[in-house]
Amino acid sequence: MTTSRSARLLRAANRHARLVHALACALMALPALLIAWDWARGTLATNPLEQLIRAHGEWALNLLLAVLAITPLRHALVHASRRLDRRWGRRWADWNWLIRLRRPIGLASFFYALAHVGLYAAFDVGWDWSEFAIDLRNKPFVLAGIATFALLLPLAITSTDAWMRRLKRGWKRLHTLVYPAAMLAVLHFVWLSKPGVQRPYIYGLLLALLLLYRVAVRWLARDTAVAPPPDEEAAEREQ
Amino acid sequence: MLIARRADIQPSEITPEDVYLQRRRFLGHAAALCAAAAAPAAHADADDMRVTLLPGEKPNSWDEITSYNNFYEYSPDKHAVAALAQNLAPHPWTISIEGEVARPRTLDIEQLLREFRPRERIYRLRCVEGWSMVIPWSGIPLAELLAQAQPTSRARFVKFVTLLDPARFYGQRRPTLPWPYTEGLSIAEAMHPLTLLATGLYGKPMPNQNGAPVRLVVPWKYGYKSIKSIVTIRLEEQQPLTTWAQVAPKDYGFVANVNPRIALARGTQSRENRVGELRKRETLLFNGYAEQVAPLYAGLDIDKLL
Repeated sequence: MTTSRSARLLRAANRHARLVHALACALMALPALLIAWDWARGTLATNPLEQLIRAHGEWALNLLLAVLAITPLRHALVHASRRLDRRWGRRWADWNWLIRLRRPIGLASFFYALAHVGLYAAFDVGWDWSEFAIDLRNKPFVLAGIATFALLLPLAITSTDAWMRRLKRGWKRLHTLVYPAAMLAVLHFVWLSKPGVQRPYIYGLLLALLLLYRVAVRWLARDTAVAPPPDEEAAEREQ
Repeated sequence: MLIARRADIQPSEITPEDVYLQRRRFLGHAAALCAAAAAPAAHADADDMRVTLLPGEKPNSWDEITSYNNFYEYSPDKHAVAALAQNLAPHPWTISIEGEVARPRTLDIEQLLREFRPRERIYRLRCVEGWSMVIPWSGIPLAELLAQAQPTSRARFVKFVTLLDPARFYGQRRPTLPWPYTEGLSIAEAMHPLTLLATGLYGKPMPNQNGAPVRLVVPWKYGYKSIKSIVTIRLEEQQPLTTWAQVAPKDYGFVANVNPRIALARGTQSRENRVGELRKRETLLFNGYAEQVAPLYAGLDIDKLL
């Protein structure tokens, strides 16, 4: 049986992990560069302060959802490749490049969140702690946002290979915090939005689908004998 | 078109005889009303109400003012309103002055501009969302229109209603707010010389997204009091039920004076984001118009007024 073109491409992707990684990082830095460029030229938005803060927050959320989309996407690609190539077994490994992108994407999400929180602290509350305390008390969305950031912070710190090895099984358990973080992030968006604004609910719907997928997979795995999920941790470390 | 005309001679330079006489009539009415409302100081003519900007303050640009609009009749998204509002077609347009007045009338917007002399006023506008702008309005002091209608002794409040037309106002097809948008003032506030029935900005007719063809501007109150695209001005004995007060009474009171000391349910109002600036400003009591409007609330605890 001949190797299909798509399979060759995938193998190339796996072989050139560093290149894929670099491309992904460049792509994820692009929104920040565009925001900075627009801001410098004065064309960011009518209200630049608001847009500076909001744009970084939205990209943090976009990338957080992208992280959660990787597992379903990988499963979908595995199924597709099985159908198209009629090859089983080792084909699983061909999708490792996608898993390897998960940590950089998660980290990028954290950096956008950091910029979002930093801009809020610097310009919105102007480094005034009493002002921040009042915000925290009066605006539930600020509380939800800060809680999201507090959950993302340990994930970003422990994102290195060294921490993965040190925490062993605990690493995976710790990083399930990404689920409550994503839920809080969407809640933050819903609470800060005005009545009648639909955007946060679109994010809510996407997140619900991504989470439901996991529930469904677990539920199906309990009933039928499905092949165990590939060892993602091992794949992630194998750089 | 009459409305679009930018006078070569500033309106303040000439005073036609009929306007002059009209103003004398208005002054008489205003004095009578002030006495009736037991206002401590009788206000002078509106033109004497020189509104000064703070050091370093300058008007926001035309682009800023016309691209960042709260107009729920179109969309709750401030950035979406300008494009959506292009269908408004504000001509012809009639406003009805009715209720507790001796001379109720319905007048066309062109008639309004012919009968009353538009003035130019540069006001700060502070939105309860936490942003503010400086806007060069043109319009007619509401007091002049009300004085002509001759409020009766039972007229204690003025209710304003926006056009209800879901065919044009897409936002009215959804129950985001109880339509039509309704706002209100006490008669003393409505007669205050700062209160403007605005018909334009930057010397041009009111852009659709800013509430064409005629809107209220009450610069010492939060922006939601400054109702857009008005069709009815109704004088009433009872305090009218206003739109936002029905939706969230803890955030949107009837009085709604800008007050940095009152923290609303939606958050503190102590600082504001002047559109175009990165650092926030301190919000001023009565939005910086305390000197002019404080007498309206003499004897009241302004920190308890919602």
